[in-house]
Amino acid sequence: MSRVTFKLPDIGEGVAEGEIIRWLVKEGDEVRQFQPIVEVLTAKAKVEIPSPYDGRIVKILAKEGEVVPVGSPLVEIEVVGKPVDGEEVSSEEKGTVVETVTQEETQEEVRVTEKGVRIRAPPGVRLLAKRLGVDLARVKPSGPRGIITKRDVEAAAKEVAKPVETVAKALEQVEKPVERIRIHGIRRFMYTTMTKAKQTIPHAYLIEEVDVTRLWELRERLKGYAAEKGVKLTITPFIVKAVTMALKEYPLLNASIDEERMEIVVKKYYNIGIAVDSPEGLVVPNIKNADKKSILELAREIRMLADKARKMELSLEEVQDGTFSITNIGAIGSIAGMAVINPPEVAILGVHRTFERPALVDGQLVNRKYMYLSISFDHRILEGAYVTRFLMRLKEILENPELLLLE
Amino acid sequence: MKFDVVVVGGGPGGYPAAIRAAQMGAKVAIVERDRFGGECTNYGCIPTKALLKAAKVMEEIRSYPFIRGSAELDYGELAKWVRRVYTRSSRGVEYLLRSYGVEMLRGEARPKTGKRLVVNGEEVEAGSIIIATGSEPASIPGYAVDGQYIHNNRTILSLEEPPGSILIIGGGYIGVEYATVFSALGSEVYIVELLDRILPQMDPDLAKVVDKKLRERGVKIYTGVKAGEPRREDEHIRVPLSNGEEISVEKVLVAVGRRPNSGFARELGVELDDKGFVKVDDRMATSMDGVYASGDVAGQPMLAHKAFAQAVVAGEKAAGGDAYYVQRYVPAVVYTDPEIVSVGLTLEEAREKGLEAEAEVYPIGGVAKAFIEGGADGIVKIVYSGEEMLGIHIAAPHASELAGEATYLLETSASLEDLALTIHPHPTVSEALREAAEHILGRPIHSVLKKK
Repeated sequence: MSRVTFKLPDIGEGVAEGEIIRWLVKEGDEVRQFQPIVEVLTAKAKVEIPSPYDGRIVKILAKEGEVVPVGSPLVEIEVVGKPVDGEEVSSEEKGTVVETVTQEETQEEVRVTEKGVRIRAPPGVRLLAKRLGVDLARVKPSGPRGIITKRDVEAAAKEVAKPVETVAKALEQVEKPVERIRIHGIRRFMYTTMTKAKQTIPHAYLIEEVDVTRLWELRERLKGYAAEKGVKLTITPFIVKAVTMALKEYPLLNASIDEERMEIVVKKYYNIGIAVDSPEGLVVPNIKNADKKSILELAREIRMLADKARKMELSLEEVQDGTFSITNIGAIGSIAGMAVINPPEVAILGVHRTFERPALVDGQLVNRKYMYLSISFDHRILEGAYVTRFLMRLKEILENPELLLLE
Repeated sequence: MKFDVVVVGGGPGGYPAAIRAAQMGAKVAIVERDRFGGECTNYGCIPTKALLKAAKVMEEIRSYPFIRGSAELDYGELAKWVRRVYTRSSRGVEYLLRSYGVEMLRGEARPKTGKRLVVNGEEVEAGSIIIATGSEPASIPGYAVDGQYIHNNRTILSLEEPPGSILIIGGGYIGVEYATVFSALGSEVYIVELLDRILPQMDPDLAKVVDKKLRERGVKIYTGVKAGEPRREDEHIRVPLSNGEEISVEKVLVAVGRRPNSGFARELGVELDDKGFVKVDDRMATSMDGVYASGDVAGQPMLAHKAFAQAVVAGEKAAGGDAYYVQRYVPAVVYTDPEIVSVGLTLEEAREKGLEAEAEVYPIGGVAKAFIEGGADGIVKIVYSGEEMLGIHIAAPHASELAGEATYLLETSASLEDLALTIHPHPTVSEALREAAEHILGRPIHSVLKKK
């Protein structure tokens, strides 16, 4: 029998930390391999983490409610049977870090990160890292041959400590009748991505008026057919469809930026995100390959994703790899607004309230339905003229919904 | 009596903890049932080094070509001198403890309830407890230590004269050190080792050097052999060996390793591993809140310098400090002739860990000082991967004094080039380390490169 420390594994691209929602086991429990032991809320979804071994839970190292970075210790497991060495190799392949603890750890001569990189740090630096709670495996070394210096550790510690300081400061000045809502989980993700989006992306905006009278008529006509198939038809699937059509003609809007290589990555697939306000904050699940789906399929899928989002049941896959987003606040209200881009995407479409207004058509005063569409775009790579053309094309499709048939 | 920190055990795993805790302002007591300084000072490291000095002096008188006549060893005087050496060390420990205001309690500590202990019938209340109860010699069936014929590393020190013949069971560091002592003092020495070589914990190339040297001195070494039930016959002990031979000796030294003294820990209720060591984390904390352990009782390797390092961490932490045990390397030193040092990985261990490692054995014959010191047949073996050193193994005169440098090189991830570019004073044995690095880099000055 040997004791191993199981660490929060890398659960998905872009997931750097997770919040411990609930432990499904307690200390002393026997566990089987692959048995879920803890529920973790990552920035994007709730995940159940399975035990990598058969064994017994010795010590739970992360408290419920705690936000822990990937690679930090979750639980100590006394492993039954198999030697730890064999386990280590196979789990390393999966990107999970497993190390023996107690004496073996302190006397381990060669420590290796999950990527197989040897950790090089003199003892003074190791002590500082321990004291500051910095995992050396996550520190970027600046010394020769990858040696970590004290300065590297201090820099890493500062990065970790920042949010903690803010909380501490905020706590100092309580007293007044307030309710404190912890920014965590999805809300925390919303917090950081929105901050990053607004701070790094120079947003530019356009608003255009669209006559949606015919679109609404079309939807009225089709509503009954859809209902027969058990689908409640809104105008959103039509907009999604129209967007994919327009994106194909203006592909730079269906893209992301690879900053490291200074390249625009134009996506040849259309995963259209739909912003949903879940109880925990904003989430943007996306419809995979929306261009290849029928209006009915889109309607069904939008409904399903929104339901899942409200029940907090979205999978990581459903929120990852979006290429363009739509936020439809019009259903609630608002005549026009400017959405914030959902990185790494480069543009987001805002769909607003439909309103009626008299208009002159062929010299006749008639009642028409209008809606404003707004688009926020990344001005570093998109010019106003290009985006305006996209928006005009979108307007054209929505004002002449029979064009949707051509797709 | 009430203390912030109570240290149980006054050896290398205990007294540094007491001193460090006291330095940090804690009220500290230390309990010792025998002599302060522990096994190391009184029965192990220190007295054996004193004996080995005598062995070395005698051996040098014999081996250098410029001494006329012969010298006579007065074993009684040697024993007295050895006593003086360790008594001085033990007193030194007491002096330090006293100077730091540590309360020295003499007697056996027994746990009561919670963090209360009883020493000599008196109750002692502790804020934190540090378990530093050390280890004791392991025994083998049939070899009950009687202090007359059958000895362990403690009783062997009370000999009044060197034995005419002695069988050492166990070819580990204690066994070979005593073989070095007694062979130099004229005893007929036998070593019986169960495994296939002596010094099984050390690099095989180092063991080879020692094996050769001991045999040259007339030590008979049996490896892969088990000693059977001993029989008294007059003033001799007859020991049958598993290879069919039988040897007859005056004394037997049992040196088959050590095992932790974990009685106190077990009674206190801290978690032990399956070998009886107290389980500790990198702050030397045990499974019980406010209870720490350091030294031999806290696990392998059972070496005094590891105990020192752990004790300081335990003492500091128990006194409220923010201490961690961060050391990765514990050098192993054996005071044979020549002395040997192993730090870090052997080639075999490195490859087992899946590292792309290589090793180079550099014979130190080209180092003048090594020849002067009578150790031209020594080696420096460096295990490395790319430019990085993974293990350093030395067999050389005064190798023990190079162990610190070797450990430092590994702890700081120094490269072969760093070592090669560091000036080592001439003439010293330490040059061998630098030369070995140059040798690996393919540019040695004091050895001839093989043509490829």
